[in-house]
Amino acid sequence: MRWLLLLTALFAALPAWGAQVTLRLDAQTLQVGQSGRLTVYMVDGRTKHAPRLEAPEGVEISFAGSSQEFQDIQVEGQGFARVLVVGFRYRITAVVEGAVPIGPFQFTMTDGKKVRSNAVVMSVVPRNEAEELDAIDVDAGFGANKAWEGQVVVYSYKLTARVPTMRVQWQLPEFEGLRYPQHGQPVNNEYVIDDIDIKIHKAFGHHPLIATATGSKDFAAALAQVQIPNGRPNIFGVRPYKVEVRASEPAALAIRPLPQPVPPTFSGLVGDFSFRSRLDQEKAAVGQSVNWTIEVVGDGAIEGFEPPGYPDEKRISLYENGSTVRAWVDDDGDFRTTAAFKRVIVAAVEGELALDPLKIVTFSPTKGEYVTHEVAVQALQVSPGREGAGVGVESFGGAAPLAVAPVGDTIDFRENYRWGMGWAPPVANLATLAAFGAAVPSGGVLFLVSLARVRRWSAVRAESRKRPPTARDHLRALPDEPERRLTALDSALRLALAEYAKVSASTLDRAAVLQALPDEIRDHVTSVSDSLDRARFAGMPADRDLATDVRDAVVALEKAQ
Amino acid sequence: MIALWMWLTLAMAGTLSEADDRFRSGELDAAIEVMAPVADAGWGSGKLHYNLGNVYYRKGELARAVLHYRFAQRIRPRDGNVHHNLALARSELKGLPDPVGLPTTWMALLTSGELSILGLGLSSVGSLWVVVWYRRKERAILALPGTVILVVGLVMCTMATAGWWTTQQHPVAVVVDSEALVRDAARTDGGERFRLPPGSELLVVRELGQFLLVEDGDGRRGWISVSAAAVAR
Repeated sequence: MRWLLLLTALFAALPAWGAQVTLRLDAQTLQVGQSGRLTVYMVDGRTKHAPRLEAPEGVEISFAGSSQEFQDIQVEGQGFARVLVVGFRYRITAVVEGAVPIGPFQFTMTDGKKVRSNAVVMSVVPRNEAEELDAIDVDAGFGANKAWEGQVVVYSYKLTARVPTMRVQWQLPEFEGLRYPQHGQPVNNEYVIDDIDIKIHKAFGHHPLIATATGSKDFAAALAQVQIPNGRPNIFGVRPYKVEVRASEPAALAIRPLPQPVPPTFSGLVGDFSFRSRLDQEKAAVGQSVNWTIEVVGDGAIEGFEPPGYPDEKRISLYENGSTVRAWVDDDGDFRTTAAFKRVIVAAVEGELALDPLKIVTFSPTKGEYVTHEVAVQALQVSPGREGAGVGVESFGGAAPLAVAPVGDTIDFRENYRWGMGWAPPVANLATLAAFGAAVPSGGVLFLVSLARVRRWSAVRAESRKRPPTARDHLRALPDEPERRLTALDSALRLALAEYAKVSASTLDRAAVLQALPDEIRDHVTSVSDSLDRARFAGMPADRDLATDVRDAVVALEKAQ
Repeated sequence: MIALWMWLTLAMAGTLSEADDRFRSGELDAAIEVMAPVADAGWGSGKLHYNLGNVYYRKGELARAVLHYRFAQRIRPRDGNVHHNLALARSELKGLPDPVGLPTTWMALLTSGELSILGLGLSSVGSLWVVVWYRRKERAILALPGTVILVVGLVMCTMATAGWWTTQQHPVAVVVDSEALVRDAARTDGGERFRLPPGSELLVVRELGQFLLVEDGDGRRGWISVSAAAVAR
């Protein structure tokens, strides 16, 4: 399930739709000789077979399995979509030192479409045999020990275990003076690296937090409870374990207030941002809607931010058209944000519409000062609208336009009810109960009738069990095992002959009875008897369907009585 | 039974006529005061909810009007006036997602109460048939029609109860008063997914504490605060 959680973060709010393929490395850095995992995620599409990945120089890649699951993934503008997510896992072994680019790969999906994946880079470092390493190592803290008020900081924690582990549970400190941002969820993940003689278990997480209070803040240690296998599994397959607790060093963070004076047009954004303006067309008519998108990319929280508009601009009307904000913590533990604020511009006058650049003031933590971004808005060529051109609207066929009355004049409001019940008893369940109550007598009758029938049937069955078996009884219950089947067929024929001769089966003289049969059936019954004997005692394969022949012979004997 | 029904009808007609008098005299708040207690207690009839919807419509509170028309639609599915005024109120609200439909298709024709009463009638007839057949010791084949009628009646009652249960578990909620913030988690600090304007008709998928997981007619899902919407249960 862990990879599905990762995937949700990867593909959350997909901007476009269609098959997508993504490569993901569990461990970005491996020592020579170590093996990690590379996963190829295919969303809303799959290949016919597990794809074979061409290993670049420096690593070896081998297929390690696949899994698939349906996932509800958010698609921008379409809500949630249920898609198939296929994950192909590969074992990747570091062979030669250096930075090894892996991918991009091209995959041919089952529908014939070719989809290109992203590329990842693995760093292969030399083996460090001399380093003395703890069996379990825990580390936690902020990326930096200073932050500005309103800045997003990431609290990261990781555990490296060089002993077998079953599960890791984290207990994080209280983050006083910090709060979680509205967008951007904490990330948790675990993976295993195969070293030459051990498995290295890594568990880590990143929590994005907004600094809200100023001053020096001290945070308690992060605690990791590690379950370590201790003994063999019991008869139920449950393996005993012991719990070891490891603590990180305490963390500290100095949160500085934003410099004074704060510019009056400060947007409230704290972080390093870039902005871009985009119009979906360069030309429009007066009164025509033009979509305008202001894109924001940065590393700070975008909460409560609205791009400035043009309140005093008479040449246009500006309307909001929704916004999307995405935030996440990337593989390096850095907080990332993107946002798109959509507006609709409707030009009111013709000619070139060149709007002033938008001025957005943010606070840059890296520079330690307020920064004014000037976002240029593309010029729009506005042509006259129909009314502006003075051309009347013509209806098809030259007929006069239909007179359309205002809606309020044609659709009337239906008035109140004055008479009737003001309340309604909920009768559904009562009526259902009553119906089942009404069904009780007939149900009782049907039960009694059925019971009587079952009893009669049982009596008949018991009676049939008491009498000796007839030829037809044997034919009805022919076994599948060949030898017992032949015996049953012989018994059926013998009983039919005894019945015909009015003697008991034990005193039957088969040859005499066969001789005494009427001419029209004697040859047939004798032939069946001989075939049966040959099959039973001489082991000769039957040259005919003996079951059918015996059945015919029994019927013939019954008729001849 | 009919006499009892008529008596009940006459006895309870006062609420509607009294509220309508106030409505006609322009005392909209007074009309609401008469009807709202019955509606809030969960005993409102279809006519009462319809009239209450009309009062809110006249007050300009279109979202609440839609809420009570949805109530009325569930109780009086064949009432053209309800459908008419519901459509009218919807048309005056802008930017709404598609309204969610009824839990099951048969609810566009019958209420669960009507279906269960129909089932009760059929199961009673079928039951009587079987008992008479048994008393007269007729041939077995003659019991079959009665048994079929009985089973159909019981199935209808079961469907009615299942429909009622579905409306209780997944009722329609209408965003009232102000815009509803739809979050991606049932937490006050959950990320914003989108916003729904007043009058949005939603299906309640499930409830968790002070949050409702809702789905709009466009298939979008998310969590809203319980206070953001009124539930037509």
